[in-house]
Amino acid sequence: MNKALTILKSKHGDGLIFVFIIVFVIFTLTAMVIEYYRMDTMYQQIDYVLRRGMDSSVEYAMLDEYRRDRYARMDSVLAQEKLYEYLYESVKLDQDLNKYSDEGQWVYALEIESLTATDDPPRLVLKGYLKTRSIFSFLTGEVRLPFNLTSANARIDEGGSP
Amino acid sequence: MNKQRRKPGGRFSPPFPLKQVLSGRAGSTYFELMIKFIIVITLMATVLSFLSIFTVYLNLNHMCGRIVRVIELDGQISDNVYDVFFRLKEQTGLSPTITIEDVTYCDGQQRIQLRETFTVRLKYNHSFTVFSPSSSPPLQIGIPMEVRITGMSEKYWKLLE
Repeated sequence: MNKALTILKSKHGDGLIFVFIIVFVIFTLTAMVIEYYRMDTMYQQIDYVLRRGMDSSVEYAMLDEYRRDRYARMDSVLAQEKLYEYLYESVKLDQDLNKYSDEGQWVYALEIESLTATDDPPRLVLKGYLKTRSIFSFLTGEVRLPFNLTSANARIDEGGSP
Repeated sequence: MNKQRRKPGGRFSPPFPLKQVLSGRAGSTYFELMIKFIIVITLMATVLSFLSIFTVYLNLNHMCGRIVRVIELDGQISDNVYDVFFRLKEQTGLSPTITIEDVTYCDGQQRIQLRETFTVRLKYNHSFTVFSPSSSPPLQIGIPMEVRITGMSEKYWKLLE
């Protein structure tokens, strides 16, 4: 007990401990900044991929025969089917919407809270969470980032090849 | 009193000989500070000049991303794509070459069907100036850069049977 008190009161080597603390703080801050940018980049990339999928689903499901009468209408069931097809085939998610890297490591998962499609006006709304891990997962658990995306198509002139 | 005035550095002291000035310690911190300052400024200038390489790469990446987005929205390699490309070239001052590859056209008019993927590749050779002496041409290093981004068409082309 006395020895421990002596060590604690002693001024010898306190500079070294101070340097260790500073190095630890610098490393932790650097890791936090790098991790923040990694997750932000990943979130933006997934947001972009989802938007593209929703836009293309709405575009595919538009009913062109209604456009002749200057009326925009969509097959909402087809739009939803096309979105899931896109998620499975193009984004290569599994049945539970998990994404794995080429090496087989889990990267992220999509938690779809609601997918709402309306025929008129033609609109697809996707709400949910992106679930992923960070290097601080041992402290915070899994990270859940919310997304709320809308895709609408109001074009009433006929598209595609003549 | 007189003795003190006659000492080196005293009131009526004669100028120091060069050897004495060089070996003397007086004012050495001032010179040390000047040399350190010059070294720090040189290092900072070097680091800043290297940053230009990253800026060029980021610009190239941005150009590629924009072109991919235009093709995705248009669903075809139209004049609009090349207009955007030339405008970006003017804005950034870069002159890369563009190649569109891994693409399947749905007809003979460079149209890309909905959800078909394509890749835009930009290539650029950046000349990094190491230093430019006044009497001779600048010393430059060519740094090859390449950016590839894959996109997906968002346009549905209704094709005639």
